[in-house]
Amino acid sequence: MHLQMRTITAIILSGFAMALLTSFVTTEEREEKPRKCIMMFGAHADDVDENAGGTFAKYIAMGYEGIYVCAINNLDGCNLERTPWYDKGPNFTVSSSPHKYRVDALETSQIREEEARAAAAVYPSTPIFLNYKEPTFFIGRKMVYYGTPEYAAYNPPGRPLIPIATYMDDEVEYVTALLEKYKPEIVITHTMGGEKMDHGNTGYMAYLAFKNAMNKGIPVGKLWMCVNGWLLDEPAQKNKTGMPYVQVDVRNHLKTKYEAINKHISQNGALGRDYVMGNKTQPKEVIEEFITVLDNTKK
Amino acid sequence: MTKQMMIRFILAVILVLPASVLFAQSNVMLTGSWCEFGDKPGQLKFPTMIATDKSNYLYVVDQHNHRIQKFDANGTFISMWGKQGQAAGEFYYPYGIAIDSKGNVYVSDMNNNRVQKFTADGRYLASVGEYGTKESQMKYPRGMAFDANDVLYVIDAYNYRIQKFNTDLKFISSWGSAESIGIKLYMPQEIAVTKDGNIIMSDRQNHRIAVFTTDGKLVKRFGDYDEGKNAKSGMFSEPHAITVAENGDVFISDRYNFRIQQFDAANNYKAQWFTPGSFDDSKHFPLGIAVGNGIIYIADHHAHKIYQYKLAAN
Amino acid sequence: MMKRYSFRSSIFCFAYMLMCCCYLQAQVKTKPRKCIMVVGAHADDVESLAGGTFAKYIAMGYEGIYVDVINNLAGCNLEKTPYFKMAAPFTVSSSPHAYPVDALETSQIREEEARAAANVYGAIPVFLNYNEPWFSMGRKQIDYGTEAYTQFAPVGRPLIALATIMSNEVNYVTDLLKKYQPEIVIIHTLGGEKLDHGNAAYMTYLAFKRAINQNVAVGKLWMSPRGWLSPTETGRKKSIKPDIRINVKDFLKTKCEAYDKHASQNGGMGRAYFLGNRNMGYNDEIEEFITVLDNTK
Repeated sequence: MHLQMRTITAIILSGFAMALLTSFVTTEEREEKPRKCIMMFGAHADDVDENAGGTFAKYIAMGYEGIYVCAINNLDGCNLERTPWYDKGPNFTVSSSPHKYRVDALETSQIREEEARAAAAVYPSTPIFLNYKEPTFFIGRKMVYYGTPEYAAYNPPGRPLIPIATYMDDEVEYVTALLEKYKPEIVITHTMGGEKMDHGNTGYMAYLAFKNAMNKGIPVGKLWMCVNGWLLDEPAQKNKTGMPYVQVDVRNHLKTKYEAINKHISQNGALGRDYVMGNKTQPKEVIEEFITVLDNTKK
Repeated sequence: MTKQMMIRFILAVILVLPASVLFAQSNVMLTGSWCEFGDKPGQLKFPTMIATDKSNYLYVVDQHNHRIQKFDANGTFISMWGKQGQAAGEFYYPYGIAIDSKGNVYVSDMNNNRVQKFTADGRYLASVGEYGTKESQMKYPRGMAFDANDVLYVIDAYNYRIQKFNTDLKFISSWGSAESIGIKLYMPQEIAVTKDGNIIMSDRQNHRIAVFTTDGKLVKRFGDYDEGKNAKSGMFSEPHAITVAENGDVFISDRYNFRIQQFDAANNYKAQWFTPGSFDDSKHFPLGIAVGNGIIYIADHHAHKIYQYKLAAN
Repeated sequence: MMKRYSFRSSIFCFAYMLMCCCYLQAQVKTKPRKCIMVVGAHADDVESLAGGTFAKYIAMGYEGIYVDVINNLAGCNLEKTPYFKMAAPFTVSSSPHAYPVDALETSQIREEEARAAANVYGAIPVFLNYNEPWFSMGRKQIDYGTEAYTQFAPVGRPLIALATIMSNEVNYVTDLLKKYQPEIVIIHTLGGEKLDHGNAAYMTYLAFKRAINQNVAVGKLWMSPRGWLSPTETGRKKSIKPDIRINVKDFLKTKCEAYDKHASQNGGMGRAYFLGNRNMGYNDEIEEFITVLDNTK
């Protein structure tokens, strides 16, 4: 009897031990790693390509899944015009043509989204449109700002203005859900607090969502930030605040980058490299540089 | 005649003269206008295309209210249907409208990438389309029109093509690539059927009009760019809507010239008139146009109004 | 011959004098005034950003410009606390009787408190009056851009984030820099620390750059390293090392006194309230900054 009790106790104890061990193993298994996935948060259509197109192409070529995120719904900024190319040219072009017309909000958004889809397909990657409202658009040739009665009256489609969205918990959750879905190893975004309103605030939104994801135990890897804007200013470089320490050699992927950029015809007239290199904030062509803002891989 | 009467007479002449000069160019008279900005029945938010049926009812695409409104010929509100959404009978920024020979109403539900069919009183019947490039798929459909055989022509904007459907919304065929039609169209907006059965289309960003056979062979083009108060007749600055009267005359809304231009069945220029409002394009945008029973209706996208004009007997 | 020579000499002398004048003028132009400007997004942000540094420089003879960017329409709760009667006019606590105050009243209360705080330093308060992105209507939150916000139409300039894309608004802030020509301007962290903080900083950055381009005599733009630049955020040490460290030990009293004036935010709890928000081990005797722009070299 005594032996039997001992046996029973031993069985129970070993059962507990097994359960405990299993739970450890399960916990270990639950600690997922980020997926081989690279996600770039661009504010507008073409920002993915311009800011990190080479890196995006390179990682996708290495087998990473590419997620091409366009945060703003691009209600503004489109001009259609008649160019010297006329019937022979691409569907939309930009030049210094005097016959240049601002395009209404809905149509601009549609054109830009179509172009972004085409660009995302070049890498190839999955396009995601977060649909945050552009802060301006045109009614006729008059600019209308977010927050004015005219903007409210037009009521264009879209989520709130992205800076406002950064203080709304449900909006941060909305972006976090995207990170949860793809569990990216690398997330790239704009310089926070610089480079136009929508760029800086898109960067900030991505940052908030990334932090939120980390706090929730979602397996995300690193958040990289481009070094445009104030980080390029001399004091920031000198005191190493703006010293990028992620450098990606993209020389073998420039062709893909420019092919993708060329899809944004309504913005760059398919001028590709000339259009990008004409932009003086682009410091180097073959190297794309970033700063690691958050790193969830070192615990 | 007293001095005061003289002044009144001169003032009256001054006031009447511009209108006389204006209407001397055309054979129409402004006979009414209705609607204002709002979301109540009979109010509009950014109306786009309009159409009339055989009973002379006017259907208006009330775009930013995501609904269709029906009025009688004098602007009395009859009914409305639709709201923002993706379910059957709901809309997301609708754009174009067309009516078949039985009086059924078809709406291009632009941002839902589909065409929906309704009875004349707004009962949902059928739908075709989703986002994509295949047959019956669409990318932001725009203007639509029926020909005499009840074939529906839909401008499938970002697939750069015209899709043809029967009244059951079954796909028939499509055409539109630059190679097949011989020209590149820049943002066509509205489509209509001419008296001789051809397809006429506003080639908006080329500031001209293109005419095709029903299977997409280019017949002719007319118009070119000119803009301003003194823009030449027969020229355009972003032509949008097109409609064809029973006698074959073609009426075209010429956006940045704030005017309607009238052409005969052979597309020769006939007349023009300015729509009400200043040359302020943020407040004034003649967009949708429809004609029926000698009456022309214009939807002003930015004034949120419908204007009614009567065609002279000649 | 003599005549021609003297003519040449006079031209030479004239050119030389012109050059000297230009040089002197350039020198005058590029020397900022002994003035420190702290640009806080909301009332009380000047204190939390750089209250000690502000007090120290003013004590050294600098003119102090106390800038409140946002018009503080939101965020004010008035309530009945355990201290009641004995405490400051407005208090914060975990009282269940906390009610959001309507927009206009909140703005007035916060502005009054900011004026009192600026007065503690002996500084000039400046209110830029950019609209807060939300406020309470009754107990309902109203966000900027909604129909309800437009209907209420609170007095104020646009949302600060929006204002950064409006050239005339950047000019408006540049004009402030023109007026005071400060040697030191301090801002929040660019791109972090709440919506209005990051955007108020970005607006000042844009205005500062524009001022430099227009040869306005501004000195340095310092930024707080809080938010994403702090070591715990970035996970690295090297690149976030602030290049400016100010010992404010002797000025904490002034800072806290100014802080206490924002009673509707902190219940007059000053240092305890301030340090309560910080990580353990926070040293409030040192205020740190990063130089973002330097116009003195």
